[in-house]
Amino acid sequence: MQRYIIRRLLQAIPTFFGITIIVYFIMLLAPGDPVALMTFDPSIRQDERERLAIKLGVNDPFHIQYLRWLIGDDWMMVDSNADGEVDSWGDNYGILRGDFGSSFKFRGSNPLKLISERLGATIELNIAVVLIGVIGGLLIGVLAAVQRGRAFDKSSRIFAVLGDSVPAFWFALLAIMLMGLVLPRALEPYGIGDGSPFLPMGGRCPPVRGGCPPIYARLHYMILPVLVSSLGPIAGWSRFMRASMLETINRDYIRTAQAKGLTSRGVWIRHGLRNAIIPLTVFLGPLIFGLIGGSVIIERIFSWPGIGLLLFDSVVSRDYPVVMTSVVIGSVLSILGFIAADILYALSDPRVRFQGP
Amino acid sequence: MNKRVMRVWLIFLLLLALPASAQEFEEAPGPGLGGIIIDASTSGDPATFNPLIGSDSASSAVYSWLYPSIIGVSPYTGLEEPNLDGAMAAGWEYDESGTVLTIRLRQDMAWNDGAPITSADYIWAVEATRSGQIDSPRAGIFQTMADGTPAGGKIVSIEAPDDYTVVVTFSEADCISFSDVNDITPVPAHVFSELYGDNYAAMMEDPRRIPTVSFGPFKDVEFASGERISLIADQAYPDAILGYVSPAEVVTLQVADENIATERFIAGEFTIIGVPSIRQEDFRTDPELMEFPRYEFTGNGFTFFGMNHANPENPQPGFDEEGNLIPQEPHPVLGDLLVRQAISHAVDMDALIEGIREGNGFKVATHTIPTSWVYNPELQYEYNPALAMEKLTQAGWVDDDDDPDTPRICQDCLFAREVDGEFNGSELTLDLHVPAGSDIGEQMGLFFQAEMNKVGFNAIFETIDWGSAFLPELTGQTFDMNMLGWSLGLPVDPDVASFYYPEVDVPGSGFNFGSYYNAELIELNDQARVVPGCDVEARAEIYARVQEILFEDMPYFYMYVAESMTATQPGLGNWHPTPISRTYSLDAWIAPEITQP
Repeated sequence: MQRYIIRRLLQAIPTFFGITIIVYFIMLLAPGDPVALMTFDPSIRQDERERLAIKLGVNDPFHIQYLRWLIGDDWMMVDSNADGEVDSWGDNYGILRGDFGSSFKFRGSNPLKLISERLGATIELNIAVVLIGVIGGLLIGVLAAVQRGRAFDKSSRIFAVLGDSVPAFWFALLAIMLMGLVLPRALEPYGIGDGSPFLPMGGRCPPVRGGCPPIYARLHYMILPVLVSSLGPIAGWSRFMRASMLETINRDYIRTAQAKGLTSRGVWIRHGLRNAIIPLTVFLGPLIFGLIGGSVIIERIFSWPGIGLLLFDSVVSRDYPVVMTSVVIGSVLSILGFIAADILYALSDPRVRFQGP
Repeated sequence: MNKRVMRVWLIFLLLLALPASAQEFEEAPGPGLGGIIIDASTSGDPATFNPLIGSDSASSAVYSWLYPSIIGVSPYTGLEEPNLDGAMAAGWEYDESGTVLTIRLRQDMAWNDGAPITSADYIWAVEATRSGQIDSPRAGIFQTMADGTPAGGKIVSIEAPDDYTVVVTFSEADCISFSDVNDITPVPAHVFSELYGDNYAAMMEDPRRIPTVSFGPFKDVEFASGERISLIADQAYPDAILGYVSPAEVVTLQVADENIATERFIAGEFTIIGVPSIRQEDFRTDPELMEFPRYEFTGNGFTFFGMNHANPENPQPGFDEEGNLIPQEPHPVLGDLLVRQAISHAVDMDALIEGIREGNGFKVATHTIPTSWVYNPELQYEYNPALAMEKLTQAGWVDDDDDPDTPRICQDCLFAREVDGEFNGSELTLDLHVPAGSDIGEQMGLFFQAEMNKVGFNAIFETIDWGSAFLPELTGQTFDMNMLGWSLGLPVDPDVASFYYPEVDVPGSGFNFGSYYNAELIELNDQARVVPGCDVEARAEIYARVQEILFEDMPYFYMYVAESMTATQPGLGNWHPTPISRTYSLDAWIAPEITQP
């Protein structure tokens, strides 16, 4: 297995560089000039714009920009005072030496720091969404398979179609209006509440000084965003699980177990469920990446301070260092996630062996 | 504008200001007992809390509470005035040549650590900005940087002969450069020099360093990325309206979507909100929303359709390398003044403002807004489709098939006469582009398209992405008509050099996107810059003619100034907004309790 892992890790290296080259190239190829976006102000003079472009290096050819990002520029002479002439050695080390550069938009802030400031909120939300999505989806899927053709199965199908097809932003707006305005005001005359929102309409923490309280003290802030974000995953996982369970229970070993006189619950759970889960391990890769991937829509509507809005703003404002830092983190996690998924798959299914191509 | 109209307007503005300046404030419960103010911001995270490297609105919204300005801008008039709260200048005067400005500073100001605020604080900020070591958008106010490289501005030097005097020397007399002095914010030199010495570049390594020493009604920034910014009352602030700072804390919560922010305000989560245009009528008419006190004012910016006067197939700069004017090939359609005038008669702006903006707009016909001291209410576009069609015919764009639904064609139009005879027979076609993402913008674009097509245009409307399409074609000068809004800084000055001079006609970056050129306008604008003593009335007379030229030449189709609305929770005490500032009296506010689930 060790040889397999090492081989997969070695294969991941060109994959990683391939991803970064393609993304960097597409990013530079896309129309829009970061300096124009940063200096769209008539009070900023033309020579200041040119000076800024030289300092940021955005006018250099693609291969120079990419190399500077990758391995730094301390090996080459640069124009440090942006007067049009190279005068000193560069002072960037490149991502391979841990230097992720400086954000264009946030006046030199470290992109890794900017992302890490938002990572906690994103991971917190996504773990809750994944847990509820997976657990809810598995439960509904198993029950739907057990109850195949009955009312619960049909209801779960309707729920899955709705969860998959109705846009999250619509659910989100509906939830905010309902819990924030409509229900509190409708129920106030009956002595239920004082007309103020039943649940926070946005944000992650109460607006008080002293930092965010522990998660258990602000679970109510998570209810609406988690609920809305989980609908899609629950719908998806329930359908996968149902299909996998139905495929499993038609196998010979299930019939054998039933013939041996095991209880239905024992057959379904010990033999059916355990084997039905195996194919779902292939989703582990995207799942791990998904933990740090933010959702622009959910974060925007619920004012959740996660990574999605930061990355969206960075793409819109052509903040190349922040975009590329997120690409590096995302691609490394994805690659590791897929390797982990393959290993887990082989470990959970004895028919699969660690063999290379 | 004649002198009489101009004087009447100046008096009107003065009268507007008088009741506001006479505002009376009620006594608050006590220092820091006036509750917590919760505001919403859609601007995103501030890039920095350092006023020397910041340039975005989210950053300045924070550091404007923490640092003084050198010269104050009145919240009532929008003009620089001496002895204003939070500003250092007690007075100033120019020498006879108009190139040396001496600013006398107040002697009663101190940072909240007790250190006096002196000219040294301003000079440290000046030297840091001029060093070239920091990425400051303000370096361009100087004639040269510290190392002698040209910077393009008119300030030759800024010196401090003593602790309470600053002397600014300009390369030439220029009324506009006065505002440049205010571009640099004084910082506590004793703190900054200890932190950075003369290694100003070190400021860029930690742009979000929390200021420890400040001057203002609030202090001690607490920042949570993407979430909130909190400041607490600083009772050491000597300029507080009541003699003390009333609110305990000001919290700004990040809300990316303004419509969600409005709903959260209605639910009671925020103290104050800028009401989006689309909801303003609801706040005026819905009984439930009318309970929120509101303040409506004409905004500090205008919306327009920029028109390209030059051929978008061949964008050229205003000057060649030797500084000679480059003759611009005219735009095939908009290069002709008659066509531009026809568009001004074709579009019913009253209908647009009433129908699409629900009345939230003040029609304008030049770039001056109604609160400007040179605004001329007599200049208005006339809606007259018949006249529009007549002008098009005059311009050589004829309705060859007598069918108003089909586009007119060129028959000896300007472009065919002066550039390419084969252009005869071409359709009267134009692209109208609006940045994507605004429903109102899209509706206005569609309205323009419909109105223009009624008089014989083939206007093709499209919304396009701001960063990847709109901005490149606008600054690249490859557009026909693009809709844009300008937000004006304070104090609002009617100078037009940044928009209509050939120096800023630079494809790729200049702000004279449409390659507009008028020698008389430039001469008059230059004259207005060197009026002795920068006398407002004398300058206003010159700008009156500048406005007339802009109205006649139509470099842009000026559309409207948006009506803004701010609403608060019932019971917010001492809230006395002005058209210049809705929050200037914030240190005296008495806030009602905010509901949090």
